[in-house]
Amino acid sequence: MITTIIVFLPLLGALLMLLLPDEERLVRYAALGVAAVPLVLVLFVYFRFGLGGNLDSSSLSQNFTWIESLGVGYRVGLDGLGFGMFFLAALLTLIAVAASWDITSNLKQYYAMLFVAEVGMLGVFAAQDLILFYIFFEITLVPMYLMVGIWGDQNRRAAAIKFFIYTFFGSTVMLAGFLAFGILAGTFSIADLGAGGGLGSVAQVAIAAPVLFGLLIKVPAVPLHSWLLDVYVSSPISTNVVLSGVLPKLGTFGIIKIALPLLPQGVEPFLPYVAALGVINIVYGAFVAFLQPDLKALVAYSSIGTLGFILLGAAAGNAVGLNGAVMQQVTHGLYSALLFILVGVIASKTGTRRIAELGGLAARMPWASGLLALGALAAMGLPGLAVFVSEFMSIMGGYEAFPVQGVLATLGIVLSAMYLLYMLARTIFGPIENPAYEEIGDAGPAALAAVVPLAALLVILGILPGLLINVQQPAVQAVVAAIGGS
Amino acid sequence: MTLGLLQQEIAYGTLYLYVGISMLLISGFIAFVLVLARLLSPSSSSATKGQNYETGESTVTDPWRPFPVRYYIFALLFLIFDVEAAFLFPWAVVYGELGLYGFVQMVIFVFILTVGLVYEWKKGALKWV
Amino acid sequence: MPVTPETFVALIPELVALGFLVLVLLLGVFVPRSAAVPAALAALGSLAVFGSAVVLLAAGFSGEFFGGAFVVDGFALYFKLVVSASAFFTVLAAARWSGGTGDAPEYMTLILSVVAGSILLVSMRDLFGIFLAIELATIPSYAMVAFDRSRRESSEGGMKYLITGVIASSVLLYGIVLIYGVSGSAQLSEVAQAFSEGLSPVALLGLVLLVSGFAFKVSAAPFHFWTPDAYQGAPTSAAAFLSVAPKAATFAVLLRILLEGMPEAAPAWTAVMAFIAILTMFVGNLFALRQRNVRRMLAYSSVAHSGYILAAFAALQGPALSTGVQAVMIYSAAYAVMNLGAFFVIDLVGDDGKSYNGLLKTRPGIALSMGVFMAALVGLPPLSGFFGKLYVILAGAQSGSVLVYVVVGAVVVNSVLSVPYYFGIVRNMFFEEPGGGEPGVSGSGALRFSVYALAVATALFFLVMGPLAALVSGAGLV
Repeated sequence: MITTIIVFLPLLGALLMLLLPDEERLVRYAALGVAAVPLVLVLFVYFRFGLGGNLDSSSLSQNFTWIESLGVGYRVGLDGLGFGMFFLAALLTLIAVAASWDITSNLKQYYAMLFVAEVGMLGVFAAQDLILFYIFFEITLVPMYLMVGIWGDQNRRAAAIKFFIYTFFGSTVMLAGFLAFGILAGTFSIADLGAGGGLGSVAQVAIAAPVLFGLLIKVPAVPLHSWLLDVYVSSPISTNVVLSGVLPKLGTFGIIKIALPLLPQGVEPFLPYVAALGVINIVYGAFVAFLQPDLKALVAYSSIGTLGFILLGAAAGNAVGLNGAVMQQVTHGLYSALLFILVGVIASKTGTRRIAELGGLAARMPWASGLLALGALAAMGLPGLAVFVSEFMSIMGGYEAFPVQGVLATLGIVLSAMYLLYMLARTIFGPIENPAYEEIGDAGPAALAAVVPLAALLVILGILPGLLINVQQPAVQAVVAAIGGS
Repeated sequence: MTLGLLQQEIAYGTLYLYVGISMLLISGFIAFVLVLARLLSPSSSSATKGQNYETGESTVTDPWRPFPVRYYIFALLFLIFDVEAAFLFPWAVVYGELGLYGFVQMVIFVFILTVGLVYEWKKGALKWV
Repeated sequence: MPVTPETFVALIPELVALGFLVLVLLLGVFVPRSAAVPAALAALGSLAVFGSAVVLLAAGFSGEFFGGAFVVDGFALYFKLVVSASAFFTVLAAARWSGGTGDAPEYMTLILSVVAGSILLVSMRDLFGIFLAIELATIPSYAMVAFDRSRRESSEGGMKYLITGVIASSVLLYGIVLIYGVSGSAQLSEVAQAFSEGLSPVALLGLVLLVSGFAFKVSAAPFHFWTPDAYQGAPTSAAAFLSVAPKAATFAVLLRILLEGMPEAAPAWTAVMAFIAILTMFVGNLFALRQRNVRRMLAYSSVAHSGYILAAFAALQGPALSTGVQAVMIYSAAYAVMNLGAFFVIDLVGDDGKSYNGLLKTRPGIALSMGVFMAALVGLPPLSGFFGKLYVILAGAQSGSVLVYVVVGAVVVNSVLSVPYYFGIVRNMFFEEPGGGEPGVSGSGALRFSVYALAVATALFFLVMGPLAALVSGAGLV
């Protein structure tokens, strides 16, 4: 019951936003309050159930039939695979509200959109039914489209529709796979489908192909990624937080939660290629990030790159790799949200995002620069920060299953260290490029309030990864058992 | 009776064959006659031959001008009640066998036409303006 | 011929429709110059038809009448509900406009006669009866299209619709006659017997002509060319209604003919349907992409949606038979709510794409409603159109035929193809600044009520999906 409440609370929040009077301070504080409630409830669930390892408690799940003739039901519940992202979706929504200082017009509508998207994001990670999963998956689409299209920069219209068409195509293909799966197996309940839903391996392969294709577009895996750059660069900062922090995980989560355990024989022939795509993401993202003159584009490609570790770890299909992948979903969200917000801070203070025009910011903006450095160090997988743990586990698992891909992935870490250090050297260190920068101040309190929790979590999870891994461990073991691997 | 005999002896589908053959024959004959007439008859045209003759009148205005719409209304009205009569006669002939069921059916039919008549009347369609 | 009291019970929806039709017509001449009364009466009539069908459905009434030519079953009653509910909203939306023409009673009478023909049609089980009912539904619709005498395009659209419609009727009739010639009966059950003995060339020709005639009526490619002209010329309410109600009834009766009349020929007609479906989807969407006029765009969109429904026809084989029938039923209802609404918004805002600019700022309620309709037409969950596509893809996935998998692939591709033109309007409404153009008519309260009610129905369709799915899975033909 509490899961349902958490998922749909933001919808009430969205309605509340639309009913508020047009007063900016009131709207902003109300939005903060609305966004905080699901987060508090998720934290309550974490301390009440998550730490004790009984997320599968029946008080967290709900199960009733919706379309009986098809075996479709409203089935929600939490498990270790989704809990980290469930938490992150609630957290990043709150962070996005805090980081929305650059939204000045139609503020109420913006928050309403954000909260509608939050319903979809929370719902995906709680859905225990294929149709419900797809519905939540798709609910995020229109609000994101509108957020980019209304509040983005001058290229927003083209970016928004491109984003919409690509991801809608992917998800419709995925839906066709889901529907074939459910109708042949006789139910859409993820719990009842079990491993393979009683289908033969040929049918599983035929279903897994569209499902994987659709999910990989959403991630995006590299040859299917061309929608992403435009929309990342055109979005307002707070949209970026959600767009890079949560939305790609809808794709990777689908692979971990649905494709792997439900279609084990179906995905098997594809797994080496998924792992290879992961490595391509890592290496390609790093190379292209190197070439970006625009700070935001650099962060966007860095974000694409580190998504590759999730694919690699998931494709490995062993406990270490999956644990890494599940955790990387969260850590990737933390650091990419952090970097996008700081890029937004720097861009609004200096008036440019071009790396060549920046330099020496550390002297003027110590807080922002320090946190940017922390984020960049996290992104390159520095030990002691959370991303290190998850990337390391992904590579370990990946190496065990696919040695070649595993070795190549380590190359990605080296490359990402190169471009991230280069970026830091050109932006926060060195001489002050532009005399006008002498006057700028540090990040404001709103930006710091948005960024500091992310940085803190990166550090805490880096030191105590067990806080997350212990929660996800049982569910990961169940997936491994379903795959029948080591 | 003849049809019954035919049906006994010839397959059902073959009946269509006869229809088809006779259609071919008929159209072939017509085409043959027309072509023959074209070939045999002498043909010469002159202005005098193109003129109207006997009771034919020369037109004084463009014949493609609109007729007053009331002609059509009256023609339609006439047609409707003509059809009604065409239904009523055979119905009256076999009325004895139809009984109450047939009577009610015809009353409904006449009622529908009456509604139409009332509508036309009140709408002013019967006024010759 | 036995006529029992039950016969009259079976005919209640039709009798109610005809009764209200006569009432509205006579009221128009006895209470002249009143627009509100005929509209109210016609709306009441639609509701009465709806109510009587609900009662018959709830009572579990079913049976065959007039020697098996007229059948009442869950399937027929379901479509009577769809038709009468669409008529209700159309009457509301057309109330003020028809008053402006000075001929409100006549317009309402035409709507009710289309209703009468359509609800009769879905109950017919005899080829000639089907033809008569189709004509009863179509002939008033010609007049509806040409009803707006103040605009030349209306007459033009009506004329084009009339001529192509008559050609379609004759093709259809020729097909019916050939099938009758082969089977020696017009009763669907006896036609089925004749078709079970193998498909003779004449029977195949009859089938092809019949399907072509129906393809005309439901504006399936390559017989769709009348649709944009007719819908563009027609009064908006007429275009909305004709693209939904008679079309749903025509799909229903085509389903009945194919499943009850020629189940043995299924391999032939599913293959034909597969090709028509693919062609129709692509033609509809590709032409809609090129339109600047919103009304014309929606006309092509209705062609595309016919294609989606025909995709369910192609899936009517093997284990997917039941799901295919359910897909047609669900899609018809889902399409009715979203498409009626989208057309009614045109009545409020206008048919130039630019007049939608900045609508979110000037008229937020209408903009949100239109956004809901557009998203539903794309097939986004959890709106109504999603469930139609869901069932179509389900049926295709279940059919186990490679050709149908191709059709499902085409459905997926076309869903994506349709995004740019539907969301072009969303972009205009939400992203652009209001233009300096005229603000559009404010519209009558009834029209706005229709739009909002349909928007709510489209958005909350998922709430009724459970009962609706139970209804269609129990009411199916098979």
